[in-house]
Amino acid sequence: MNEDRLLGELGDLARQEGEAGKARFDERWDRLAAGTLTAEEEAELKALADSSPEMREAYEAFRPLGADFQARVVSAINAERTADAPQPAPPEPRPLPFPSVFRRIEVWVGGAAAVAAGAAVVFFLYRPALPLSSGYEASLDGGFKTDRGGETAPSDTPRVFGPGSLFTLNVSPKQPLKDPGEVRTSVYLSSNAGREDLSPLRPEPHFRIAETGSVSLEATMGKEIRIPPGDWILWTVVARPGRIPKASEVQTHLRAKRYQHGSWHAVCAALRAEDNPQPALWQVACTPDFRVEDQPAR
Amino acid sequence: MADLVRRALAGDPTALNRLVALLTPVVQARVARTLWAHRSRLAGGRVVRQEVEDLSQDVFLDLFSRDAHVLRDWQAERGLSLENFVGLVAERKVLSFLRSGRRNPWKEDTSFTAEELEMETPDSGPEEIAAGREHLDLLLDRLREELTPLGRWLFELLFVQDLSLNEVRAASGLSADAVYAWRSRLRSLARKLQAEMSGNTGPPRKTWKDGHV
Repeated sequence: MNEDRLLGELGDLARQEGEAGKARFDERWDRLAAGTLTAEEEAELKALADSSPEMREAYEAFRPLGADFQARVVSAINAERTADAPQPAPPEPRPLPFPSVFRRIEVWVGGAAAVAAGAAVVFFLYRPALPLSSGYEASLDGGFKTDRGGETAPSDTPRVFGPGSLFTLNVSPKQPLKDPGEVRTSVYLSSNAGREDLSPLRPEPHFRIAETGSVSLEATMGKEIRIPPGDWILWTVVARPGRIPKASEVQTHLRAKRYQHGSWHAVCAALRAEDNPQPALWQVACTPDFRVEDQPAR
Repeated sequence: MADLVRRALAGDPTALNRLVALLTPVVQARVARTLWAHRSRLAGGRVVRQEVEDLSQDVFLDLFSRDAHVLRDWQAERGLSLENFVGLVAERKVLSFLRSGRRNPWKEDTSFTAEELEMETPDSGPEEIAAGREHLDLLLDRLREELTPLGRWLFELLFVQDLSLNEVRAASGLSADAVYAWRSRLRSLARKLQAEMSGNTGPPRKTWKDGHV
């Protein structure tokens, strides 16, 4: 087909769709979203909404998202900007003090060298943190998997940990880091099915940090790691030194791009399925769901 | 409006709040319309209101992520209002979501060939005409998904409103050469997408975010 003819047909189709869309949802629906309907128009659309489940759903789709939504958007934009922001330049080196017994010329010559050396030291100490070039993924081992009558449990069956179970967590970059450098960790806990705020895990477990930027934890449930009975997800943040985010920041980041209203299970599933995220000063990975019981491991 | 955008981009928190408040209804209405027009593709059990809210937030993040490179593309002098520009970004987001979501119409329906597009002959039966229409629908969605807001605007002027070259120049502020170049790009893109949908995919597809079209 001639491409102009094809584009012409696509244009015709777009025009027809536009007209059908306007016929289906006239300008009153835009004003519903904007919250600027007259009382009469509002009554008309409410009557339409009451006429069928389909129109009720349409009414709900256009009902104003409100100030709460706008506040969340602004917060998410600010969180995104913070993550994107270039790192601050190293602070100006302060002049180094010199003993007053130095003669002026010695101060002048020696001082220049000292300032240069000092600047080099300061530059080294304050070298801007490099972003982690890859996202991370977490795997969980230890405990046991529930089985049925001795059959092998499916791979997606949650692991179960009891007091004394070995709890092994490995969190590794999805791609080798361009600059592994130094990293730090922080761990947050959430329920599996809930939407509550993330809680920092206390006492904070001690991770082994590899030169590749991978981090790992081998702990005994009830000793080095203490988690109450229930179905849980662990969120491990790997960050450059001094760049560990607050729980609220992690939460905003996680909810900003994924199912805002979904359970933590849904957010984690979306995070795990995600392609490599953009480089950032911190990355977060979640474990598959796991269960903690108050009985010793079978 | 351009001044408000400039201030919001410069980090003025009041301007950012104001801009988000102004654009929220625009984004929401466009997301709702687009989602509603394609809701047969929405996976069962999804609540439209919830999807509208999540997708609307995603649109804002797309506009402001990576130093707001998408929003910075908006130029008032191109004749596209900020509301229209943002509306096109929203529409593209929804189409992309629907394509990569749980139901993927492209994977289910890859038998689109150039010959099939020629099927709207007087002898075609209702089923063939419906199938041809469906394919055109899919191709149109793919085109909308691929184009930048400026590309969409040029498609609108050239092929939806069917304006003359002079009218397109006046509406877009572009030179005649630039309009010709856009017409050519649109042709190439339509041809490429048609080939992709026929299963003849050629080289890996780049996306708008990679700086295309």
